[in-house]
Amino acid sequence: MSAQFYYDYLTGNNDYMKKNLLGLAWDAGRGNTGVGVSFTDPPKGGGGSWASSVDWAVVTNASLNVLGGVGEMIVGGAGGYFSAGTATPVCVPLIVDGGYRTATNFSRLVGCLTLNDRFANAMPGNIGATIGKGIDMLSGVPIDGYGYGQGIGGATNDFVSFIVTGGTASAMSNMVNNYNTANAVWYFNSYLGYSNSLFYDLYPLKK
Amino acid sequence: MYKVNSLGTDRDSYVRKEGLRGLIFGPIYGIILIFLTYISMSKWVTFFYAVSPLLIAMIIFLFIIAPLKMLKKHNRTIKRIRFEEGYIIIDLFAALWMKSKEYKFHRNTLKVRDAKFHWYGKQIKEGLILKDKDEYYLVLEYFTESEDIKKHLM
Repeated sequence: MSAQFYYDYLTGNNDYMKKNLLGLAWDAGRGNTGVGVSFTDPPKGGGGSWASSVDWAVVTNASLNVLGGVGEMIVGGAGGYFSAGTATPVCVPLIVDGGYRTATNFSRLVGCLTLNDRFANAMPGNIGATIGKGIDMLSGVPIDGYGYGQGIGGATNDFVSFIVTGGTASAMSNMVNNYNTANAVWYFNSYLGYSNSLFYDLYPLKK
Repeated sequence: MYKVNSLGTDRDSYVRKEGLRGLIFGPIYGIILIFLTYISMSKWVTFFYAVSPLLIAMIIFLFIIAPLKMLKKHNRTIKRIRFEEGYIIIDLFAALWMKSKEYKFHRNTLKVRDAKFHWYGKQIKEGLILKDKDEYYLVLEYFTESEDIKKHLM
C-alpha cells in the first residue's frame, strides 16, 4: 500500500482499513457464539461505538485480577524477605501463581478491549482453572467454552491461594509491626484479586 | 541529658510519613478499589455483598489498626532521657496527634528490663523496657551513649 493510501486513511478520505481490518476484531469476538456458555450478555448489534461495545465489568474484573496477581507476587516476595527465607516453601508458589494470574488476566483484559469477548471469557484466570479447562476439554467442552472443571478448578486455586496468603501470617504480623503503606496496599490488592477471581470462576456457572 | 541520634530521628520521620500515608491514602485507595469491585461484580451483586465485609475488614486492619499500632508504639518510645538526683526523666516521641509527653519517675519505683524489639524495622533491635504503670521503650541503637544510659538504669 502506498504512502498516499495511509495519508488518505488518516485524513478520512479512505475507509478501507476501517471497513476491512478494524472489523476483524469485532468479527472474531462476535463470531461462532453458539457453542459453550457465554460469560457476558449476547453481543450488542454492530454499529455501536467501541466504548459502548466493550464489557466494562469484565475489563474491570480483569484489571483487578492483574493487580491482585502483582500483589500476590509481591506478598510472596515480601514474605520471604521478612522471614529471611524460612517462608520460601509458601512464598514460591505464591509468586508463581501471582505471575500466572497476572499473565492470563492481562490476556483477558486485552481480549476484552479488542472486543474478543469470547476469547476473554474462556481464558482461565489461574493455574487451577487451566487444569480444570484441560479436564473440561477432555470431556468435550470446546476451547472457547466454559465448563464446571474450569470454574471449580479456578475457585479451588483461589481458595488455596487465599489460605496460603493467610498462612504467611508471620510475615503479615511482621509487616504490621514494621508498617509500610506500600506493603499493606499489596496485601489488600491480593485479597481483592482473590475475591474478583472467585467471582470470575463462579459467575459463568451461575449463568 | 541523652538525646536520640540520627537513627532515632530517621525513625521518627519514617513513622510520621507512613502513619499519614496509611491513615489517609490507605482508606481512600481501599474505597476506590471496592467501588471498582462493585463494577466488576455488577452482574451478580449478591456476590459483591458476600465478599465486601472481608474487604472492609482488610481496609480497617491494614489502613487503620496497623498504622495506629505503629503510632502508639512510637508514642511510647523514649526520645530523651536524663538522670537527676534519684529521678529518671524521659521524653517520648510525638506521633501525629499524639503529643510528646514527659514523665518523671523515682529510680526505686521504675522497673527496668532488657528487651528485644521487633517493631523498629526489619532487624530485631535490642533495648530496655522501663515499666511504671505503663511500659516505655528505649532502643539502644538510637542513643550514641547507650552504654552510659544502661549503666545508669541497671
